[in-house]
Amino acid sequence: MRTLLLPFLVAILLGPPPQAHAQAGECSWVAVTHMITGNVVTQLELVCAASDDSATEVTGSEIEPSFTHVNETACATLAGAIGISHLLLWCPSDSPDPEVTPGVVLSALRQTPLPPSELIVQPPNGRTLVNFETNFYTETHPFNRTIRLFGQRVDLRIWPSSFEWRFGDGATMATESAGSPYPHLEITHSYASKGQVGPSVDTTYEADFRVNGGPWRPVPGTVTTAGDSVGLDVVEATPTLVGYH
Amino acid sequence: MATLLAALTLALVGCSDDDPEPEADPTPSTSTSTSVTPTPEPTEPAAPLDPEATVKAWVAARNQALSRGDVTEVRRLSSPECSSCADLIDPIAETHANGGRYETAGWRVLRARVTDHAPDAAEVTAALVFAGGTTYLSATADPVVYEAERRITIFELTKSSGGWAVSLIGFVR
Repeated sequence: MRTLLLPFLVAILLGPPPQAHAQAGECSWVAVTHMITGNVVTQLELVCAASDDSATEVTGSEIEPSFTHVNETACATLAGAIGISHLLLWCPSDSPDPEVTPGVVLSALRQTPLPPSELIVQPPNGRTLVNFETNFYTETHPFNRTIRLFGQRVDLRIWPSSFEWRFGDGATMATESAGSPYPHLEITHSYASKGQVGPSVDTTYEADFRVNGGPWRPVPGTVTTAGDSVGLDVVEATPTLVGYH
Repeated sequence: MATLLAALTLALVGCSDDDPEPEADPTPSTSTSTSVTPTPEPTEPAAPLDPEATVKAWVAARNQALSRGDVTEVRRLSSPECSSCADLIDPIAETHANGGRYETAGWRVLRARVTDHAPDAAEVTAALVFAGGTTYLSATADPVVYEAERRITIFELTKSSGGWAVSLIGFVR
């Protein structure tokens, strides 16, 4: 197990550990997810490996190691060094992990980078015509994520549930559809005048989650990711007589 | 890395007092007095904060950010590369930007001492009490209720021309 642990800790080593390293053996800063002041945040926590590493679990696809409280010695040493005497209050050996509630998962989801949708415009090549039904769509698909919250595995099934189309001339449209490529026109817009515009699409995601392989439950809320704007030149078509005999 | 002996020696001669700090109040009282404001006397520029005072100022500034949403001061006391600082500050700005709020007394520094020191770097170990409270992550969000916590916290600081700034925050439990 130790041979698995060490490369992983090296990969996430975020700086030299503090004085406790000298007293507690192999200590490292690792990023863990925790709730602080109501926000689910990524924080650095000192993890000191037990000599037999029996408390460490490493699985390749997860974002942080799982561990139990093997660093009471480091905590007690540091607390004692600053004159804290009630060590059980500060370095509990049996503090339970907080419960992973739907609200906590929503907070974590909101702090998880979700991909913006790529806006596809037809006609292509960044040009369209005034008073022409310009077509918009995106190809955002559902996806899965696995995170760890409070030391527990949380699987997320995430899908785009709605879209806010911003056409760049002040007009917007909200849909549940992602639109379709030509010739199945679903999301279209006619620009009234020529000029440069920057249309974009914001994507709202919904999700289900399960904890440690348990039953799936809905995440009680949504997360909206703003999309990048696309450069679009709206031009006028001028009739041109190209030949007459 | 200093040895245990050095750590304990520094702890014993640390410049911190042993008295509990007064609780940081994130919502300072406001005065509506109409009395004449005295003309301020010219004052000497404030002396640069030492590492321990910088940590206390950082905690106080974060408490202010919780109540007001202004993270300017707590960011100023953080070095630009301190991602662990940003992880504790950015959610506050986001919550306020989303119309949320914090109903908590914030963090309190119960004890803080310099546990390692070099000319341009220092380590302060602090005993922090996180007050319980309720947070609304947005204007329409359900409340998130949390209990008080006690955390031994390590602040690493670096010194630049602008004084000491927090460069890493980590927790021990």
